[in-house]
Amino acid sequence: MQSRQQAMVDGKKSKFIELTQSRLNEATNIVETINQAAPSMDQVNILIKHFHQMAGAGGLFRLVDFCQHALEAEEVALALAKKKATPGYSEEINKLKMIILKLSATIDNAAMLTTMGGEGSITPADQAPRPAAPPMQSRVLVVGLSRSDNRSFAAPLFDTIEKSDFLVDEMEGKDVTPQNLLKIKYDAFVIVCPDNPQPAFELARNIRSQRTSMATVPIIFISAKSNFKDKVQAIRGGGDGVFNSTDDPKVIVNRLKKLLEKNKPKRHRVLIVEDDPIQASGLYSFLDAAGFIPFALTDASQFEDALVEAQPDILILDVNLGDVTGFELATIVRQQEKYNTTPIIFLTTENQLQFHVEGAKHGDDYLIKPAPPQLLVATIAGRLERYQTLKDMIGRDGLTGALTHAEFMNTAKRMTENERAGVLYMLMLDIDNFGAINENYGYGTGERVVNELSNVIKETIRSYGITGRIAGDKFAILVDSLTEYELVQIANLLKEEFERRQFETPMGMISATVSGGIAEFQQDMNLNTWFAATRQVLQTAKNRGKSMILKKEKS
Amino acid sequence: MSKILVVEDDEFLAETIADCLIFTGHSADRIGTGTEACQMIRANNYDLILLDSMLPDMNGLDILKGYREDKGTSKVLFLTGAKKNEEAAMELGADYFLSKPFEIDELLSVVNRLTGGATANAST
Repeated sequence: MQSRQQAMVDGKKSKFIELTQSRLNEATNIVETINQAAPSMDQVNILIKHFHQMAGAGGLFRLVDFCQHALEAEEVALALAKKKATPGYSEEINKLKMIILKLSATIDNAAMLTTMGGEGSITPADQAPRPAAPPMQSRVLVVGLSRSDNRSFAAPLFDTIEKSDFLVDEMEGKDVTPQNLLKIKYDAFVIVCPDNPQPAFELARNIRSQRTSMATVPIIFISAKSNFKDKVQAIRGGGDGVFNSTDDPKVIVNRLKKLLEKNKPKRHRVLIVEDDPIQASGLYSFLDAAGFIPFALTDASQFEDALVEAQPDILILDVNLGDVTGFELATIVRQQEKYNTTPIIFLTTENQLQFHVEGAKHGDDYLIKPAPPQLLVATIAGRLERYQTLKDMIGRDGLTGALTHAEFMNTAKRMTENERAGVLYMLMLDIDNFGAINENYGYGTGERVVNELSNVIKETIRSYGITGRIAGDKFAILVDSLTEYELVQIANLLKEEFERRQFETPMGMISATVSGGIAEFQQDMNLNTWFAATRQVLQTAKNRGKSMILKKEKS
Repeated sequence: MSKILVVEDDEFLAETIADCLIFTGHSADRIGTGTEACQMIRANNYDLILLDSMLPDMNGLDILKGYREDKGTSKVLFLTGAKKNEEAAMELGADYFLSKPFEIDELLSVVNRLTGGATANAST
């Protein structure tokens, strides 16, 4: 029965692919016509309808990226409709061309997979092994609660988790054992605490102690009673959030979403410039399947716009692009400070080999066309890895591995400019009497103390925040997924933990204390005023006698 | 077996959904315009109506509003592409909503939940 249903769905999928290919052809023609004469409303409306329907039906067949592109295209077409016949629609046209190319590539790729027998079939030998596609839906395990539980928060919680596109399982009673919890690789855990929450914390601690990627999996606790001590324990036990059973399930699930977002491996962005649409779309679908975020450009004159849109981590440039060469494009790339270390790979044919010498000035690697896909992916991956290590090294402090001042400020700037970010807090920490430690026990001791503070920050802050070493003994931490209450708790844990550490010196064991200030980012602030405000709170903590964490009082 | 109406103007999407519903043991009619949908839902006693938010002649929210004002009691699963419509639909009396794009399995599980579980194993 199941397989007959699958067969029916597969039949529908083939039909959808066919229909989409013809719709895309029509869209291409319309875009071409609009490009030459002012768009007519009828034409634009057909585009909107086509893209809308592609997005609507594409989801049925798990064509996630395809839907995303179709939604994008619909938005651009809607923008075009707003502009009507006023001049200045070339930007939309170019965007549409690019998205249609993406759509064609993804749908062609889907067509290929379908004729090959769908996912899970044996790939032909000339195909590189496809890295497993990222799972469409995250799997969440709710521990200690079932949907049919008679407590009133059970059903809404399960509903909200499901509505948010998660697959949700439940586990309760005798089934709940540390082993069972780890049997399936869940993407997140929601643990409902019993009246005595200790066993729940024990489970979390066990997950955190795993030596696999499970150790960083998001864990959220829900407890029926609000208890200050439990909350602190839950955070200490490795919880990424603690909620009450009376909290709005939407809020709980939003936290879950945010945490999962952070845990996702980064997908690298690749900009391909290749004037042959067939090769471009082939490269596109291959890189897409290999887990990259590809952007394909066939018209080199649009290169600068494409660069802005794609924000690539790596570029693949065809050497021979008609009017210009890939080398010339590389020069444009290198002129921008942001891209002057971005890897560039040139694609060239056998008889252009003499160009290699010239290209060595700008690029990192060559591939002779037609490049075997495995080689292409291996080359890209290798280049990216080296580039990433280098980039990390430049941005990180040699002693502590925290971000350098400049890199921290860059990150902070990005966070404050991100409108979707939640409430942001900055925690600034400064070792008390650090000058005296250096003077009395030597700089080596001072270095160890700083290093230890950095370690304690890593252990307690974990994935909650981004840490920068902003001066010799001063660290700043940006936090966007904790409430102020939780941050204050964690900062105090951090302080206590650090102050327990002992350092060996020629004059015997010593310990050090640390002060901290916390300030929330306010709408009327900019990065500098926020920074100054946090520093001010830290200064107050120092003035009031050190070894304490203070937060900015609400004005 | 539940009696279901699919109101969706994308003919392909409507056909796919209807076929899947029939396959899982329901009966399904489909209709592509708001005016016809209004007539159909009043003339027939559907267990469930799958209602698209954007129809060529009418807005799905208006159809839902009119239907509930007329004391229509069939369950309504609202299909929408826009976040702001989700809340509006629930307020106007939809029993559930699905945001496009959604997957077939997702749709079927929601339908089964709303109809009290006509099962995927209903033998043919």
